[in-house]
Amino acid sequence: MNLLTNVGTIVNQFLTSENLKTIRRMIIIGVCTMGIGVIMNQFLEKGIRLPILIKSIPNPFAAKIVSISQKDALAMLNAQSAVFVDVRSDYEYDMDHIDGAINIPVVDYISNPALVDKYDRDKSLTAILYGADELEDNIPLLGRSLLKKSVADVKSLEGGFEQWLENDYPVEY
Amino acid sequence: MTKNWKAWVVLGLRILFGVLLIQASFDKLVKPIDFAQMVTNYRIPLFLTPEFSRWVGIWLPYVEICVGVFLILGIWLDAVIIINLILMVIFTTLVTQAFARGLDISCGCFAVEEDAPKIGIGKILENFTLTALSIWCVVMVFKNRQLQETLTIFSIPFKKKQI
Repeated sequence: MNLLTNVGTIVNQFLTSENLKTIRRMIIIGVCTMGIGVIMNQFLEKGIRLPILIKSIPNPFAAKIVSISQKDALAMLNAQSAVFVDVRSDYEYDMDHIDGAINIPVVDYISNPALVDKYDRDKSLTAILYGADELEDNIPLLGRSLLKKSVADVKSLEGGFEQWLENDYPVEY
Repeated sequence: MTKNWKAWVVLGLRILFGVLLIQASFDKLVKPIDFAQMVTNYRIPLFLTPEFSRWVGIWLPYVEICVGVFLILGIWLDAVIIINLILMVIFTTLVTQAFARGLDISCGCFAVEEDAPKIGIGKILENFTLTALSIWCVVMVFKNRQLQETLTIFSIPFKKKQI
Protein backbone atom coordinates (compact mmCIF):
# COMPACT_ATOMS: atom_id res chain seq x y z
CA MET A 1 0.00 0.00 0.00
CA ASN A 2 2.87 2.29 0.95
CA LEU A 3 4.56 1.45 -2.32
CA LEU A 4 1.43 2.40 -4.27
CA THR A 5 1.20 5.68 -2.38
CA ASN A 6 4.85 6.41 -3.13
CA VAL A 7 4.38 5.63 -6.83
CA GLY A 8 1.29 7.85 -6.87
CA THR A 9 3.24 10.69 -5.25
CA ILE A 10 6.10 10.35 -7.76
CA VAL A 11 3.65 10.34 -10.69
CA ASN A 12 1.88 13.41 -9.28
CA GLN A 13 5.20 15.19 -8.85
CA PHE A 14 6.16 14.33 -12.41
CA LEU A 15 2.88 15.47 -13.93
CA THR A 16 3.46 19.13 -13.30
CA SER A 17 2.14 21.61 -15.83
CA GLU A 18 5.73 22.21 -17.04
CA ASN A 19 6.35 18.51 -17.70
CA LEU A 20 2.95 18.05 -19.33
CA LYS A 21 3.77 20.96 -21.62
CA THR A 22 7.05 19.24 -22.58
CA ILE A 23 5.25 15.95 -23.30
CA ARG A 24 2.61 17.78 -25.36
CA ARG A 25 5.34 19.46 -27.42
CA MET A 26 7.09 16.11 -28.00
CA ILE A 27 3.83 14.59 -29.23
CA ILE A 28 3.20 17.57 -31.54
CA ILE A 29 6.72 17.24 -33.04
CA GLY A 30 6.26 13.48 -33.48
CA VAL A 31 2.86 13.72 -35.14
CA CYS A 32 3.73 16.69 -37.37
CA THR A 33 7.00 15.17 -38.62
CA MET A 34 5.17 11.92 -39.37
CA GLY A 35 2.54 13.84 -41.35
CA ILE A 36 5.17 15.81 -43.26
CA GLY A 37 7.07 12.57 -43.95
CA VAL A 38 4.01 10.84 -45.38
CA ILE A 39 3.13 13.84 -47.59
CA MET A 40 6.68 14.45 -48.83
CA ASN A 41 7.13 10.79 -49.73
CA GLN A 42 4.23 11.03 -52.18
CA PHE A 43 6.19 13.60 -54.20
CA LEU A 44 9.74 12.28 -53.93
CA GLU A 45 10.90 10.38 -56.99
CA LYS A 46 11.97 7.42 -54.87
CA GLY A 47 9.54 7.93 -52.01
CA ILE A 48 7.54 5.29 -50.12
CA ARG A 49 4.00 5.63 -51.44
CA LEU A 50 0.85 5.70 -49.32
CA PRO A 51 -0.56 2.31 -50.49
CA ILE A 52 2.74 0.71 -49.46
CA LEU A 53 2.63 2.48 -46.09
CA ILE A 54 -0.91 1.27 -45.51
CA LYS A 55 0.23 -2.26 -46.33
CA SER A 56 3.06 -1.74 -43.83
CA ILE A 57 0.66 -1.42 -40.90
CA PRO A 58 1.14 -4.64 -38.90
CA ASN A 59 -1.60 -7.09 -39.80
CA PRO A 60 -1.54 -10.53 -38.17
CA PHE A 61 -4.17 -11.72 -40.66
CA ALA A 62 -2.11 -10.86 -43.75
CA ALA A 63 -1.40 -13.80 -46.06
CA LYS A 64 1.91 -15.52 -45.35
CA ILE A 65 4.28 -16.02 -48.26
CA VAL A 66 5.81 -19.45 -47.79
CA SER A 67 9.17 -20.37 -49.24
CA ILE A 68 9.96 -23.10 -51.72
CA SER A 69 13.19 -25.10 -51.92
CA GLN A 70 15.53 -24.69 -54.88
CA LYS A 71 14.95 -28.30 -55.90
CA ASP A 72 11.15 -27.98 -55.93
CA ALA A 73 11.41 -24.68 -57.79
CA LEU A 74 13.57 -26.30 -60.47
CA ALA A 75 11.00 -29.10 -60.81
CA MET A 76 8.26 -26.50 -61.30
CA LEU A 77 10.39 -24.64 -63.83
CA ASN A 78 10.92 -27.83 -65.81
CA ALA A 79 7.21 -28.68 -65.64
CA GLN A 80 6.39 -25.08 -66.64
CA SER A 81 3.96 -24.90 -63.73
CA ALA A 82 5.36 -21.69 -62.21
CA VAL A 83 6.13 -18.13 -63.19
CA PHE A 84 9.42 -16.80 -61.82
CA VAL A 85 9.47 -13.17 -60.75
CA ASP A 86 12.87 -11.52 -60.33
CA VAL A 87 12.56 -8.72 -57.76
CA ARG A 88 16.11 -7.40 -58.19
CA SER A 89 16.88 -4.18 -60.07
CA ASP A 90 16.44 -4.15 -63.84
CA TYR A 91 20.23 -3.77 -64.15
CA GLU A 92 20.82 -7.02 -62.24
CA TYR A 93 18.01 -8.73 -64.15
CA ASP A 94 19.55 -7.74 -67.48
CA MET A 95 22.86 -9.36 -66.50
CA ASP A 96 21.35 -12.77 -65.76
CA HIS A 97 18.14 -14.26 -64.38
CA ILE A 98 16.28 -17.53 -64.03
CA ASP A 99 15.17 -18.94 -67.35
CA GLY A 100 11.89 -17.27 -68.40
CA ALA A 101 11.62 -15.02 -65.33
CA ILE A 102 9.92 -11.63 -65.53
CA ASN A 103 11.30 -8.61 -63.71
CA ILE A 104 9.37 -6.54 -61.16
CA PRO A 105 12.03 -4.61 -59.18
CA VAL A 106 10.62 -4.46 -55.67
CA VAL A 107 12.42 -1.20 -54.83
CA ASP A 108 10.75 0.46 -57.82
CA TYR A 109 7.44 -1.12 -56.82
CA ILE A 110 7.58 0.67 -53.43
CA SER A 111 7.66 4.05 -55.18
CA ASN A 112 5.32 2.92 -57.96
CA PRO A 113 2.77 0.32 -56.76
CA ALA A 114 1.23 0.22 -60.27
CA LEU A 115 4.27 -1.84 -61.32
CA VAL A 116 2.45 -4.93 -60.08
CA ASP A 117 0.36 -4.70 -63.27
CA LYS A 118 3.52 -5.68 -65.14
CA TYR A 119 2.63 -9.24 -64.13
CA ASP A 120 1.04 -10.46 -67.35
CA ARG A 121 1.39 -14.24 -67.04
CA ASP A 122 -1.13 -17.01 -66.44
CA LYS A 123 -2.59 -16.27 -63.00
CA SER A 124 -3.53 -19.88 -62.36
CA LEU A 125 0.18 -20.74 -62.13
CA THR A 126 2.24 -20.37 -58.96
CA ALA A 127 4.40 -17.25 -58.89
CA ILE A 128 7.86 -17.80 -57.39
CA LEU A 129 9.54 -14.60 -56.27
CA TYR A 130 13.27 -14.37 -55.80
CA GLY A 131 15.85 -11.74 -54.90
CA ALA A 132 19.63 -11.81 -54.85
CA ASP A 133 19.64 -13.87 -51.67
CA GLU A 134 17.27 -14.91 -48.93
CA LEU A 135 17.62 -11.53 -47.22
CA GLU A 136 15.23 -9.79 -49.62
CA ASP A 137 12.80 -8.41 -47.04
CA ASN A 138 10.29 -6.86 -49.43
CA ILE A 139 9.20 -10.10 -51.12
CA PRO A 140 6.13 -10.58 -48.84
CA LEU A 141 4.95 -7.06 -49.72
CA LEU A 142 5.03 -7.74 -53.47
CA GLY A 143 3.80 -11.29 -52.94
CA ARG A 144 0.66 -10.17 -51.15
CA SER A 145 -0.02 -7.64 -53.92
CA LEU A 146 0.19 -10.43 -56.49
CA LEU A 147 -2.23 -12.53 -54.44
CA LYS A 148 -4.62 -9.58 -54.48
CA LYS A 149 -4.24 -9.50 -58.26
CA SER A 150 -5.76 -13.02 -58.31
CA VAL A 151 -2.50 -14.93 -58.73
CA ALA A 152 -3.36 -18.42 -57.45
CA ASP A 153 -0.30 -18.97 -55.24
CA VAL A 154 2.85 -17.03 -54.43
CA LYS A 155 6.04 -18.44 -52.95
CA SER A 156 9.52 -17.11 -52.30
CA LEU A 157 12.63 -18.95 -53.43
CA GLU A 158 14.83 -20.20 -50.58
CA GLY A 159 18.40 -18.93 -50.92
CA GLY A 160 17.52 -16.60 -53.78
CA PHE A 161 19.37 -16.24 -57.07
CA GLU A 162 22.85 -16.64 -55.56
CA GLN A 163 21.97 -20.15 -54.41
CA TRP A 164 20.40 -20.86 -57.81
CA LEU A 165 23.69 -19.93 -59.51
CA GLU A 166 25.68 -22.08 -57.06
CA ASN A 167 23.41 -25.03 -57.91
CA ASP A 168 24.17 -24.44 -61.59
CA TYR A 169 20.48 -24.36 -62.47
CA PRO A 170 19.24 -22.87 -65.81
CA VAL A 171 19.96 -19.20 -66.26
CA GLU A 172 19.19 -16.80 -69.09
CA TYR A 173 21.66 -14.04 -70.06
CA MET B 1 29.59 32.83 -13.43
CA THR B 2 29.22 29.02 -13.22
CA LYS B 3 25.70 29.24 -14.64
CA ASN B 4 26.96 31.39 -17.48
CA TRP B 5 29.73 28.92 -18.30
CA LYS B 6 27.28 26.01 -18.36
CA ALA B 7 24.87 27.99 -20.51
CA TRP B 8 27.51 28.52 -23.17
CA VAL B 9 28.61 24.85 -23.12
CA VAL B 10 25.00 23.71 -23.52
CA LEU B 11 24.54 26.22 -26.34
CA GLY B 12 27.65 24.80 -28.06
CA LEU B 13 26.35 21.26 -27.66
CA ARG B 14 22.94 22.27 -29.00
CA ILE B 15 24.56 23.63 -32.13
CA LEU B 16 26.74 20.51 -32.43
CA PHE B 17 23.74 18.16 -32.11
CA GLY B 18 21.67 20.37 -34.39
CA VAL B 19 24.26 20.35 -37.17
CA LEU B 20 24.83 16.60 -36.78
CA LEU B 21 21.11 15.82 -36.96
CA ILE B 22 20.51 18.07 -39.98
CA GLN B 23 23.50 16.59 -41.78
CA ALA B 24 22.36 13.06 -40.89
CA SER B 25 18.90 13.69 -42.32
CA PHE B 26 19.96 14.83 -45.84
CA ASP B 27 20.71 11.46 -47.42
CA LYS B 28 17.76 9.78 -45.70
CA LEU B 29 15.37 12.46 -46.95
CA VAL B 30 16.04 11.69 -50.61
CA LYS B 31 16.48 7.92 -50.28
CA PRO B 32 13.81 6.73 -47.85
CA ILE B 33 13.57 3.25 -49.40
CA ASP B 34 17.30 2.64 -49.07
CA PHE B 35 17.23 3.98 -45.52
CA ALA B 36 14.30 1.71 -44.62
CA GLN B 37 16.35 -1.23 -45.92
CA MET B 38 19.29 -0.17 -43.74
CA VAL B 39 17.00 -0.10 -40.71
CA THR B 40 15.77 -3.61 -41.57
CA ASN B 41 19.40 -4.74 -41.80
CA TYR B 42 19.66 -4.42 -38.01
CA ARG B 43 17.50 -7.57 -37.97
CA ILE B 44 15.64 -7.19 -34.70
CA PRO B 45 12.65 -9.53 -34.87
CA LEU B 46 9.24 -8.12 -33.88
CA PHE B 47 10.68 -4.60 -33.66
CA LEU B 48 12.59 -3.57 -36.77
CA THR B 49 10.53 -5.60 -39.21
CA PRO B 50 10.52 -4.52 -42.89
CA GLU B 51 7.02 -3.08 -42.34
CA PHE B 52 8.00 -0.98 -39.33
CA SER B 53 11.26 0.04 -41.03
CA ARG B 54 9.30 1.68 -43.86
CA TRP B 55 7.54 3.88 -41.30
CA VAL B 56 10.90 4.68 -39.71
CA GLY B 57 12.22 5.45 -43.20
CA ILE B 58 9.64 8.16 -43.82
CA TRP B 59 9.56 9.53 -40.28
CA LEU B 60 13.09 9.65 -38.84
CA PRO B 61 14.67 12.06 -41.40
CA TYR B 62 11.96 14.65 -40.70
CA VAL B 63 12.29 14.22 -36.93
CA GLU B 64 16.05 14.69 -37.25
CA ILE B 65 15.79 17.83 -39.36
CA CYS B 66 13.06 19.30 -37.14
CA VAL B 67 14.91 18.55 -33.89
CA GLY B 68 18.16 19.81 -35.42
CA VAL B 69 16.68 23.14 -36.48
CA PHE B 70 14.78 23.57 -33.20
CA LEU B 71 17.94 22.81 -31.18
CA ILE B 72 19.93 25.44 -33.03
CA LEU B 73 17.20 28.07 -32.86
CA GLY B 74 16.19 27.21 -29.30
CA ILE B 75 12.56 26.53 -30.12
CA TRP B 76 10.72 24.22 -27.67
CA LEU B 77 14.07 23.38 -26.16
CA ASP B 78 12.63 21.29 -23.31
CA ALA B 79 10.97 18.91 -25.80
CA VAL B 80 13.67 18.71 -28.48
CA ILE B 81 16.46 18.14 -26.00
CA ILE B 82 14.61 15.07 -24.69
CA ILE B 83 13.83 13.81 -28.21
CA ASN B 84 17.52 14.26 -29.01
CA LEU B 85 18.43 12.15 -25.97
CA ILE B 86 15.89 9.46 -26.93
CA LEU B 87 17.34 9.34 -30.47
CA MET B 88 20.91 9.06 -29.17
CA VAL B 89 19.98 6.25 -26.75
CA ILE B 90 18.18 4.34 -29.54
CA PHE B 91 21.08 4.82 -32.01
CA THR B 92 23.65 3.73 -29.43
CA THR B 93 21.63 0.66 -28.43
CA LEU B 94 21.14 -0.39 -32.05
CA VAL B 95 24.77 0.10 -33.05
CA THR B 96 26.09 -1.67 -29.95
CA GLN B 97 23.82 -4.69 -30.25
CA ALA B 98 24.61 -5.00 -33.98
CA PHE B 99 28.34 -4.95 -33.25
CA ALA B 100 27.91 -7.44 -30.40
CA ARG B 101 26.00 -9.78 -32.72
CA GLY B 102 28.73 -9.48 -35.33
CA LEU B 103 26.50 -7.94 -38.01
CA ASP B 104 28.57 -6.58 -40.89
CA ILE B 105 26.31 -3.65 -41.73
CA SER B 106 26.52 0.09 -42.26
CA CYS B 107 24.94 2.07 -39.46
CA GLY B 108 22.92 4.31 -41.80
CA CYS B 109 23.74 7.29 -39.60
CA PHE B 110 24.93 9.80 -42.18
CA ALA B 111 24.86 7.97 -45.52
CA VAL B 112 22.62 5.24 -46.85
CA GLU B 113 24.88 3.91 -49.59
CA GLU B 114 25.97 0.30 -49.57
CA ASP B 115 29.61 1.37 -49.23
CA ALA B 116 28.95 3.60 -46.20
CA PRO B 117 31.30 2.99 -43.25
CA LYS B 118 30.53 -0.21 -41.34
CA ILE B 119 29.75 -0.40 -37.64
CA GLY B 120 32.86 -0.65 -35.49
CA ILE B 121 34.38 0.33 -32.17
CA GLY B 122 34.86 3.91 -33.40
CA LYS B 123 31.16 4.30 -34.21
CA ILE B 124 30.16 2.85 -30.82
CA LEU B 125 32.49 5.21 -28.94
CA GLU B 126 31.14 8.13 -30.97
CA ASN B 127 27.56 7.16 -30.08
CA PHE B 128 28.32 6.68 -26.38
CA THR B 129 30.04 10.07 -26.26
CA LEU B 130 27.09 11.79 -27.94
CA THR B 131 24.65 10.03 -25.60
CA ALA B 132 26.64 11.09 -22.53
CA LEU B 133 26.71 14.68 -23.78
CA SER B 134 22.99 14.69 -24.48
CA ILE B 135 22.28 13.32 -20.98
CA TRP B 136 24.37 16.15 -19.55
CA CYS B 137 22.41 18.67 -21.65
CA VAL B 138 19.06 17.31 -20.42
CA VAL B 139 20.20 17.38 -16.78
CA MET B 140 21.51 20.94 -17.13
CA VAL B 141 18.38 22.22 -18.85
CA PHE B 142 15.88 20.55 -16.52
CA LYS B 143 17.84 21.10 -13.33
CA ASN B 144 17.52 24.79 -13.81
CA ARG B 145 14.56 26.11 -15.74
CA GLN B 146 16.04 29.59 -15.47
CA LEU B 147 19.10 28.29 -17.26
CA GLN B 148 16.78 27.01 -19.98
CA GLU B 149 15.43 30.53 -20.42
CA THR B 150 18.98 31.85 -20.68
CA LEU B 151 19.79 29.26 -23.27
CA THR B 152 16.96 30.09 -25.62
CA ILE B 153 18.83 33.12 -26.86
CA PHE B 154 17.71 32.54 -30.42
CA SER B 155 14.07 32.04 -29.50
CA ILE B 156 12.97 35.53 -28.58
CA PRO B 157 9.49 35.20 -30.18
CA PHE B 158 8.93 32.00 -28.25
CA LYS B 159 10.04 33.31 -24.89
CA LYS B 160 7.44 33.60 -22.16
CA LYS B 161 5.99 37.05 -21.88
CA GLN B 162 7.19 38.77 -18.75
CA ILE B 163 4.25 39.88 -16.64
